[in-house]
Amino acid sequence: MADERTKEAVETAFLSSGERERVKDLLQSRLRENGWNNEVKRLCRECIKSRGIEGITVEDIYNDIRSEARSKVPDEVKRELLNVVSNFVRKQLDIEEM
Amino acid sequence: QSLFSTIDQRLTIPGEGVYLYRNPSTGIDRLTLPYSGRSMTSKCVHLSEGRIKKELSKYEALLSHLVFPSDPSRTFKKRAFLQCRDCDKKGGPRDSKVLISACLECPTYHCLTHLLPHLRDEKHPFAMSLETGYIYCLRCGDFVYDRLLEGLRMDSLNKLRGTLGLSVVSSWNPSDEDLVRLARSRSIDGGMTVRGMVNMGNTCFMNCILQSLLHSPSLRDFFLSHHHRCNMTPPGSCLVCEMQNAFQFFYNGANRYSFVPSAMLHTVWTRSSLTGYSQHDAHEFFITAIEMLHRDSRNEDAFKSPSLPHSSRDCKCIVDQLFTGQLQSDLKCLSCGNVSTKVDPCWDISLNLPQGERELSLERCLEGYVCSEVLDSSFPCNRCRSEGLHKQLSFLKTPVICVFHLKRFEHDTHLRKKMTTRVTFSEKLDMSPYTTSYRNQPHRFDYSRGSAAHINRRSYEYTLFAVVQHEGSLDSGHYTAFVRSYNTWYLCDDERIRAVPIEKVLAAEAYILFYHSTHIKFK
Repeated sequence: MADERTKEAVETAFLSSGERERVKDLLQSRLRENGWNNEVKRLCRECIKSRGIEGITVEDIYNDIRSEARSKVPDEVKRELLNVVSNFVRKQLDIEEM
Repeated sequence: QSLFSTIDQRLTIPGEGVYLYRNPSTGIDRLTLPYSGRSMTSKCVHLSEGRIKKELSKYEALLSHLVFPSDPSRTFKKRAFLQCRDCDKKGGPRDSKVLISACLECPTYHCLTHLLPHLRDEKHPFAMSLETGYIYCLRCGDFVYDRLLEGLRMDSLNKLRGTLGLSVVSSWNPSDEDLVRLARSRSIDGGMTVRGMVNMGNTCFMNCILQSLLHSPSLRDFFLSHHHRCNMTPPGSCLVCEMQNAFQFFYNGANRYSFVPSAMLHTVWTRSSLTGYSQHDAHEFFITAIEMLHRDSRNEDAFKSPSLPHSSRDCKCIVDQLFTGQLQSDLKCLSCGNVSTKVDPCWDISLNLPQGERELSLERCLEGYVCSEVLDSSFPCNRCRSEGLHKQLSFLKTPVICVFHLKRFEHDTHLRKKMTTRVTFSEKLDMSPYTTSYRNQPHRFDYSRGSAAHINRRSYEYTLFAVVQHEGSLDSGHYTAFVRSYNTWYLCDDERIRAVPIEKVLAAEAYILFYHSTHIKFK
């Protein structure tokens, strides 16, 4: 099942069917609803305050807050997304087999 | 070394110390924090010098081919470029799929870290993130913002979103007028929005409805932004004006008095049948008030609404925009297969409580509302005249605010008793199973079929914001209301207001339930 070509086919289908964009939109909505966006904004602000605004870049902030921001993603959001994606993969694999 | 060419006007927002610099040629697009003069979203001078701004079509092409490909034949390309081969080979400082960017001078694709040496060596000044379309300037050492390019990016993004059936993303660019207003206004700490209401003698039936309306999010926004400008002649006794006054008083943080709805009561008294000092039905008051608001909206210049009753498809008054939904009625003949369809407006949903049930859920009541009903012989099929037509209701359009009326009181029978059935309800409600869309295409709402179901169901998700409770018997009862302000629930018992946990709200003896659409799409 982990055949390289099948994997590529599933990934391409994920992208070309528009599913990837829809899932991304769903993820963004869920994160916003759960207050994750506000939490990350707060982390960014703290980072800027401590590093100073002179010469700070997007990459600096990203490197600083990345792991903490990731850990703050709520479990139910992760679960829901995993569900949606695995449903898609399962359906695709059924199609591939035919 | 200042990046500003001219600083025209400095506007201060007191309290926050944020400065908005206005450049006369480009408008405001800079934000500065107080502790240094440096701008956070500096205008990148390199962008204006560089070729990008002269070769907009190239940027647009990259956006529509690689970043937001709405054409399925192009998505293959995107997939091919979403990997950084250097990360796979040398092992990147982070995952190999982060910040994959394209050089804007030549077709080179890497994660940003591995792209930088290429940009420096080849003196290619700009790169673009393949995930977002944002532009990275090598000389500024950061992602940069330009209003023109951002506009193109958003257009491309929205084109893709349109083809996928997602809502449009828009940004707000403040006008000069807006900025002046922002500078002048002070940010007020979100104060208490709940206050007591005086009972003027058995007027709790009115108080509970007013409390619910005063806490309706969209209605509140309409009235607090003073949308109603009245042309009523002669002036006075326009219920919309009274409502607006009520909102303005209620949300005025400067005073903490109880609200006395005497003007509102007088207006309704003199123009409806709800007179006398006895207790009236809260739902009856709600319908009377809504109809009067609709009628009085005709006094506004903004639109002309047709005569009552509600001809909802044409009317743009705030009441119709928020409360009116469309109910589709399908009559199917099993003999000849003929289906005749009719669509009617509805501004509240009255649910029967079946006899003999001690407890049931709101969802169960709604199922009963839309479920198939066999009509008797007095309604034969108009094509083949056979009996036994199946009637089915469904919501063609659900309103922004759903008001559920639980029919606990039978006014027309001699019995005149109250149905004390316990109706359970939740903070969230999914209206999709009762819609015409669901009836016609249930697979679009099936979670096991992919993310589209999540998106389709979201537009029918509702959140509870007020509950009208009736306690006691039909003749001697009392109305109270639970309302939500920000994320706290309060019990409003005339002048007595008390914060309560949500468990208490959900345990209430509900008579009327107010739900608001959780996600509103803007066109």
